[in-house]
Amino acid sequence: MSNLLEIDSVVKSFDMHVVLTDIYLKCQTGDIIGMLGRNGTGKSTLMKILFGTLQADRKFIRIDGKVYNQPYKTINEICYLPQDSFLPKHMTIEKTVELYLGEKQVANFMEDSILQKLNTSKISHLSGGELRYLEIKLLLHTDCKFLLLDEPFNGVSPILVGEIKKLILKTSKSKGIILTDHDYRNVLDVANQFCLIYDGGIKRIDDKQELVRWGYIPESRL
Amino acid sequence: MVKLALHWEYFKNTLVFSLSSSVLLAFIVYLTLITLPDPPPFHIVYIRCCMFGGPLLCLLYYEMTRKNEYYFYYNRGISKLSLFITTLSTYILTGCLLLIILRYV
Repeated sequence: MSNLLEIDSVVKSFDMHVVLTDIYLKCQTGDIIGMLGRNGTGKSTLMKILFGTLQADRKFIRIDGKVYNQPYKTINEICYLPQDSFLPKHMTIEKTVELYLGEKQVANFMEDSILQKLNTSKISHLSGGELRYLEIKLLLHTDCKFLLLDEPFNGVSPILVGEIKKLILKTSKSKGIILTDHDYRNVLDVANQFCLIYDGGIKRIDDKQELVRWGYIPESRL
Repeated sequence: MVKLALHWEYFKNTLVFSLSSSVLLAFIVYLTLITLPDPPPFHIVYIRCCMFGGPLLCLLYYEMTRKNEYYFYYNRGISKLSLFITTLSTYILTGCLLLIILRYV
């Protein structure tokens, strides 16, 4: 079944500074939208507004035709991976997986070469990269219709980045994914649609050359 | 059931800080009340602190140091307000129950 997420007329300002102006974004099941933009352009802000944990001056969010003010409050509509780790440090990996996916899924979830290599069961003992991998895998395995990934490749080693990309591609068939990361090469690798937040607005990117034209990357790095 | 388990997990997470900060709070309150002609016993002051002061201090501490962990609950459809209300209610109800038991024992 295909699902549709639409966000329209988003306006957000901090004090007198307008960060986002009249944003429209559409995401369907199977889409992996790579959202690019310079630091401070409002990528994370837009994701938090879309998730429902940050109030906007104006916004309109619709999932499958139903309007939501705070979509996160309806379970399995939308999930969000914040920039920083969000798993409670005192918990064990198994307990975390059990709470998110149910007891029956734990063994299946843990059948993973990376998770099996871990020498610990405590979240607090994981390295930054391992923790990021666990968080992403956990969210990808939930039944949510849409997933927002804020800097999923941040602080992750190249091997784990490869694994995360595989996971994202595998799961995107049943979910709509919006992701943002400053490691734009990884975003370009994994996404099937691109947009750029520039000057408060959102531009659809059809050709990588446009990223140079909008001043996001220098020509030499394309 | 999942939501209930997550609320319980959050409550458990607040226990250590809440109960230990309540000891400190109870000492301060007890020392200020000790000059009264008929001061309440320490354990009563402690239970009352456990019902209100300790949990509130804990929520404030959680808000300041582990704010990001709320996303763990948001992703399962649980708001911060819902966590606050259930946690505080649990402390208050448990405290009330203890006070009633102590009154009749």
